[in-house]
Amino acid sequence: MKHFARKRYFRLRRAEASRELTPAELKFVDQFELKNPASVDLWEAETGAMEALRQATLNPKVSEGFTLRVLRLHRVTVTRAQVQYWTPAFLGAALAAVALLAMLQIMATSTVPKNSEMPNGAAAQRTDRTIQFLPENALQDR
Amino acid sequence: MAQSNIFSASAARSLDDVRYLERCRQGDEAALSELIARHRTRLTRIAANILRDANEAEDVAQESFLKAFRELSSLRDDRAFSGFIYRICVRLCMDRLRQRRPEATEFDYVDTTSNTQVENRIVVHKLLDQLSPELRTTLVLREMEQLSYEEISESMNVPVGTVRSRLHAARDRFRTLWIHATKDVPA
Repeated sequence: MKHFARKRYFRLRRAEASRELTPAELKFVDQFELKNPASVDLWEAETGAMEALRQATLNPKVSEGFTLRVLRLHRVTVTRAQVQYWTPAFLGAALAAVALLAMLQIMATSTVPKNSEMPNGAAAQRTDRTIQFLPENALQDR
Repeated sequence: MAQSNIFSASAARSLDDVRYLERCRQGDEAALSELIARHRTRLTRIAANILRDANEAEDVAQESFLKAFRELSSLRDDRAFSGFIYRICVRLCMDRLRQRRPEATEFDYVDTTSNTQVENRIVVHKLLDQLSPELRTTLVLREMEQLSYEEISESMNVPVGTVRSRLHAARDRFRTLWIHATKDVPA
């Protein structure tokens, strides 16, 4: 019960900063303070602590180049985002182009013309065929 | 949670923000710098008071602007820009506080009747370090930045009831630490 009364006391004292207490609330606060001097001390300590806290408020000055720095970083961020957005497309296109070139190159070098399409004598110069030698006595027999 | 423009001092200010944002979306850098100029001081101050470090505060303010500009498309109501950017700033500050390693602090007792403002700041800094990021941020936003419960609720993205209970706990804890750190120990 005392715990709740103390809680209410602190709540009311804190509320005092933002609104006026009702006569009933004021009466409660007065009566509680008479019976609980330790809570009054605690409240005074809290007032001091909060005052110290408010006095310790920092109010730093923003450095001169702040806006320019933010703008520069923003430009970098935007550019990076655009690059990241387009990179997969460019990479894909580049890979496709390389693959296409490689394919054309392979097709150009490995195409073997048919014998019928070759000029006279050219077939004999081809190196990719195995030359079959006749047996030694084959000509003699003829 | 609805994005209301609770941080703006006036409707005219938020209407200005709307105009600048329209120009920003069209790639107008002058509008961007105008927006930065309008909010940089307060953002830096909020971050400095939460983090208790002016240099880190400037980094956080810078990061907040970049994040806000990057996520501008997610802003449903341009009039809520100031609330939007302050929320980002508070979130970044809390992330930084969570990354910090807690330090065990030993106090030489401080005489509150004769201490200077510098000493007072050091004590407050050390005491705030003893609070969790949630309690610390709530206390700073209320006591130093003088924000209402609703404003704190919006900036921390928690219900007003949570703000009340956190504030209560933060004040109790800070008071206990203050009594412990100062000579004027109540009987």
